[in-house]
Amino acid sequence: MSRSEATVEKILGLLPDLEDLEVLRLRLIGAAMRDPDKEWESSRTITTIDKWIVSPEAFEAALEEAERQVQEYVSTLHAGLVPVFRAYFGGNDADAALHLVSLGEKLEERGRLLGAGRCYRSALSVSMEFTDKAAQVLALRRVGRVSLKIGDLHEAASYYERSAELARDSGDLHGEVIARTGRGNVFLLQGRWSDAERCYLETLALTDTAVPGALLLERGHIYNNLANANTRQRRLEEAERWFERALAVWDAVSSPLDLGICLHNYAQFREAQGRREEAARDYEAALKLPIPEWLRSSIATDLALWWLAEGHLTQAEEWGRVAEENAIAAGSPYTLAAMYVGRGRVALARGDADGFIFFEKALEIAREKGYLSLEAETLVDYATFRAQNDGTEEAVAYLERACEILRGLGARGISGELERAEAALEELRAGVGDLSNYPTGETPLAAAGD
Amino acid sequence: MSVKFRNALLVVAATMVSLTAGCSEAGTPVSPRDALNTRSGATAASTSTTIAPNESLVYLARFKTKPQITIAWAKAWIGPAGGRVDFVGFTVIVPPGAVDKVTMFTIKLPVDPDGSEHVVAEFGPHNTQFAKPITIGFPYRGTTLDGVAGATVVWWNDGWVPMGGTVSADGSQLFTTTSHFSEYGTASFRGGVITASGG
Repeated sequence: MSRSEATVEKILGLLPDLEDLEVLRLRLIGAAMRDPDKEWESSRTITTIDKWIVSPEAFEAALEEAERQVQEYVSTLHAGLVPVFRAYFGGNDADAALHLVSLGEKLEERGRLLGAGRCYRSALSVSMEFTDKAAQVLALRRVGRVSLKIGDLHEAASYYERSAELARDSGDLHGEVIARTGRGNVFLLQGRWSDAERCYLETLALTDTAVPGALLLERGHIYNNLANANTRQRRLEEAERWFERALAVWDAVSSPLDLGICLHNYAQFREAQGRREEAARDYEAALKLPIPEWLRSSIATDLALWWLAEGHLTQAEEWGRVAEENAIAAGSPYTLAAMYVGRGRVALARGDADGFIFFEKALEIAREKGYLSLEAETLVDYATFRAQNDGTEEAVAYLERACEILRGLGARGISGELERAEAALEELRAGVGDLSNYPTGETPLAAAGD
Repeated sequence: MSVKFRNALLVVAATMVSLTAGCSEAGTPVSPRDALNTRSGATAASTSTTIAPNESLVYLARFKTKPQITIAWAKAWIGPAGGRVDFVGFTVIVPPGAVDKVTMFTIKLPVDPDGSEHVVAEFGPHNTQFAKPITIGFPYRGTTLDGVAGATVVWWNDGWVPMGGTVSADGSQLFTTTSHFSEYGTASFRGGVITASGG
């Protein structure tokens, strides 16, 4: 019996479990389409990509594209090793280490995070014995960054701290500022807003010790992040002042990625102000910039929720799918989990009973990677969903766990998430609560990094 | 429906609400400036509503269609047996035993163009600690919070402080409980996906 198409799930099941075929897997996911025969089924809106279909023609095209991409990758890898070994044989071990870092950066740009991490760790091993600590400072920081992208927050914090301390001890102000900013980013992703703010302010004070006009790019990063941390803590006037300073930097320094992050954060700030039309314009302006998939996915997730708030479910679902495609291409678990929570909320708003798939996927990632704040926020939403579908006992258990996590994170009074979870728990325990329309909470976190 | 007719209906509706609350009265609109800027000297029955400063209103949810009201407040005398006040989607539910004597409960809305488009109200009496938590409700459907993640009741304490909230079964109101009265509103505290620079 011939087939005119097959689901992504079936095709991926046929592929041997080889790491070398990862590019093909992602290409196949990218080539997948919604099944037109199921267009009018009630569950179509919550169908994840593994249930989408791929035609034989699309499979062939994906295979060709994957082969081309793998060849390009192999060429990049080998070409990147040439300067490493030339420097090594030339007796310049420090340069060899820096070339290894450079190779890692090329892999990281292509979304090959594990490969990039291995390059950085090789560079770190080589650089340990050098008197000049510059290569080691850089390699430590890069391991921190890639760990953050992969979602290993403890590892990221540890490497950023080691990098910052080594940079400080060797008088490398630039390196110390970048590493400390990275440390602040880890706090931000954990939902520890005040710790993040404190870290950024201390780092900003460090930049004041540099010669005037130096470290402008790094200051821009810190302004962006301080604006974000203040928005999260609802100190909007302070946030606006930091945004003004950040935008002034991105006027002077061309960095589409940083401008994209700034516009994304600014759009969230506009939403917090209640200026929703302006928020939508800023989201769209950010999407027009040449930005990586993880950022595109994060913005699309927020746009999905923006449309949901406007009551336009079809647009919300479309943006949810854009977020999903980009999250898969980005290879970032954090982005993926945040996107699944967003899609879960759309399903919740629609009253789709099968929407639990999204929350389960988000929880699985959050638990595996230790994204505590994301886990708690997902649990609060999931509890709402379970309560709505006769799962009161599960809902109570989820809310108890969410409260426990949020108390541990010191979340009281900041996002309102703990207060919401406690109120819902009280209602459910009293047996009088009706969570059928209980509002969902803070949108979870997504991948960070430069 | 003409604006004039709708206004007339709202006046009737507001009056009916006041009547259902028992011994209640309705006041006249407060002046725009007083509504936003006067923060002292207000009493439960005065016509000078003390709503949080103008710049802080941006945090609050807005009505999709601003209610056309000509009466900005309602009050009801409620005793130890309990009772309730409903006014343009805002509600106060007093359980039995919350007060030990007949007390005047009030709901006041801002009437200036900025303030009145927000879901915010001042509840009275002030400076009274209730023996049992009072339930307060806010319009939810027809506001910018409807369907938005992170909806919460907020109270003014030199800044809007979130205190959670539960949407009613019919999705029309957002409820919470409190043991004292102040200025309350509704807001969304959804933060959005985090993206950070540098590092």
